[in-house]
Amino acid sequence: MNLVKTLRSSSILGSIAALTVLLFGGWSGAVIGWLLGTAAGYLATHDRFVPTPKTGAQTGIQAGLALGVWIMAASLIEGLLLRPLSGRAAIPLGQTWLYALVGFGLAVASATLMAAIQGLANPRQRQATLLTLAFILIIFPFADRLAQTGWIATVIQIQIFAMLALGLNIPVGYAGLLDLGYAAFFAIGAYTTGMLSSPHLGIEWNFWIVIWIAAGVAAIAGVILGTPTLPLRGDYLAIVTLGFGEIIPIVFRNLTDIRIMEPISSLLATLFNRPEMAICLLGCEETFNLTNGETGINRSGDPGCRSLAASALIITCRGTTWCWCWWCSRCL
Amino acid sequence: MKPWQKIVLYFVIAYFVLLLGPIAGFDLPRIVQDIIRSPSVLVTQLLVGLINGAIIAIIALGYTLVYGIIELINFAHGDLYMLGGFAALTVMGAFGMQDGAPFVTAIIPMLVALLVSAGLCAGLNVLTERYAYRPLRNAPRLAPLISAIGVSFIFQNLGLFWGGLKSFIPIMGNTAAAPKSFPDLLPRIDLLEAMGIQTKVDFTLKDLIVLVVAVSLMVGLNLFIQRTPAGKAMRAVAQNRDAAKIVGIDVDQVIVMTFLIGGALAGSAGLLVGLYNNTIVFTMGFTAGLRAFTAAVLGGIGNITGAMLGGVLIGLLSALSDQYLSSRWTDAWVFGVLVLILVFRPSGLLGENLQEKV
Repeated sequence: MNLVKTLRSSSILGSIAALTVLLFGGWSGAVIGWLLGTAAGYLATHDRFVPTPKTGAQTGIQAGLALGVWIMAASLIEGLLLRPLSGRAAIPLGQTWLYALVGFGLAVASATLMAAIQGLANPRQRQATLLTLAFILIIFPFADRLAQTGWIATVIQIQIFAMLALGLNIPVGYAGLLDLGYAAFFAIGAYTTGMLSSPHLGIEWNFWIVIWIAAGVAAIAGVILGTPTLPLRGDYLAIVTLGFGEIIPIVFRNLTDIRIMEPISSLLATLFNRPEMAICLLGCEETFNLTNGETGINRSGDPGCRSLAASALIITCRGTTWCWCWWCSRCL
Repeated sequence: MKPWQKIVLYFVIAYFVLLLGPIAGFDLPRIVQDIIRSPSVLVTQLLVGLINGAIIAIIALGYTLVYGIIELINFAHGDLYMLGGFAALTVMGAFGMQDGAPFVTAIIPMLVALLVSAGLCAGLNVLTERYAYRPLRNAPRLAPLISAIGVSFIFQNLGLFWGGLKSFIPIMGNTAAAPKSFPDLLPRIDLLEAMGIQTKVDFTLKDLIVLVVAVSLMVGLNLFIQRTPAGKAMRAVAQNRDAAKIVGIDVDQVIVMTFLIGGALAGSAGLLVGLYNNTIVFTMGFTAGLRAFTAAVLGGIGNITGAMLGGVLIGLLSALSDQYLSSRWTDAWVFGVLVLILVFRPSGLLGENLQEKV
């Protein structure tokens, strides 16, 4: 029974992996085999009792083999059939077999490792699982680079959306407050980052400082919205947040030509019909452009090597021939 | 808080509104000057606001009816109204109506368009209720709401697709997403001039027709709710669904009827807005829906007279904001009013104080 379950979960992962390999080809089989192999090893063991690492490893091998077969088949189909048929440059037979076997091997190895970890005693099992996941997160950019799959941009998007979902889960999931304007805080954070770290306003602070300021500003905006709306419940809260979520984009889109006059003096100036009496506070000669309208604030600071080097929190990588972080190659 | 503290507080708030208001177009001295210089513009804008407000009120009725019965914010309602506009435009295309066609020949197409768009929207709304809301009636509150947002997206894309059918409907113009021009069929005869009153204000036959149709729809709905047995059943279900079931009212049937009426109203509003503003676009449902919803909340959601009042107020506010504040900021002002009303008077202008809901 357990074997059937293992095969089923591995085959679901295997079909995803096969589709990926068919789409991307090349070393993508190795990367996806490594990632999904870990997942398959965990899925095969997470819902049953695993007494020792050895039994875990046995289950993991089964899961890894099932996954590996999918990847190997997909690699071979891609290399031997799809490539010639779609008219792309053919690759040597040996290379195709190399892709297929490396993918297969990595799938089996990582599934076995992950499943074996699940057989450890309790505190060690938890630590080792987290360590493996951390290892995957750190190694993934390098692997992505080596395998030339180019998934890092997509993965970053995925992580940003995952963070958004985690944040939305706090009011909606834990507190049961339906917040339809959550994206407005996303916008507030983004615009704070943009204003403080781009040439647009002439403030080009370091990304690693700005990120905390942006979080703080968005949190303050949340408090400002939350305080008056706290007595409201249910649908009314949903409506207020919806309205807020509509106002914020309009505000950011339109804060392009600001001119602030001191109101009392300008009232007097209107009454006595003497325009020179009005005191101007902001945007006097030409109107002040805060958000740059539909174009948005371009070239905001990025968390890349320049930021890292300047922040001096982490080993500087400029000027060294070998850079340990993959993105640093841009500024070497 | 002591009285003098309150006065200082109000003064500080007023100061900041005057200081920062001009950013969003709230420049009081300029507005006063504008009004003094040409009062007729103010009257014209009030008229435009009144008519647009009447159309918003019709949409708002759909929101408030549905909310009154099943306490669901029907996000798809605005997009339903947009589809009504497209249905009306399609009928106009089928009759070969062009700008400036004689009014007499346009009467029959307009009546057909009214029937088609009202019927289509009513049918769509009932289908939506049957397949998107009814299965979720006993689910948590969030589920039907999310479902409604999904239906709204489906309708919006349906509108985009419909707008791209130019090979079938030549009137649809060039691209799918572009605003479509609706034929200008109602005569622009200035009634005041015809009566011999010389003013700068235009009150045309077009305005009168749209206003009369909108008002008669609202009056008809009010009579239906207040005077007929079916209306009585609707009010009963709105008050207490379980009790209504006990006295033998078919709750499902009442809900279907509510969606039917709401959809028909949205479809008629779609035709009216096409005839009045002469342009429709597939994204108009979203904004109009939010405005109509604001109107329903403003008047006290679940309250039919309140929805009409709220619609007219929102229409006036947006027309005045377009003229005197800044058309770019109109939506922000409308939603700002929504937020303020909900914070200070959640039950709306005419709504009774619903303790358990607030």
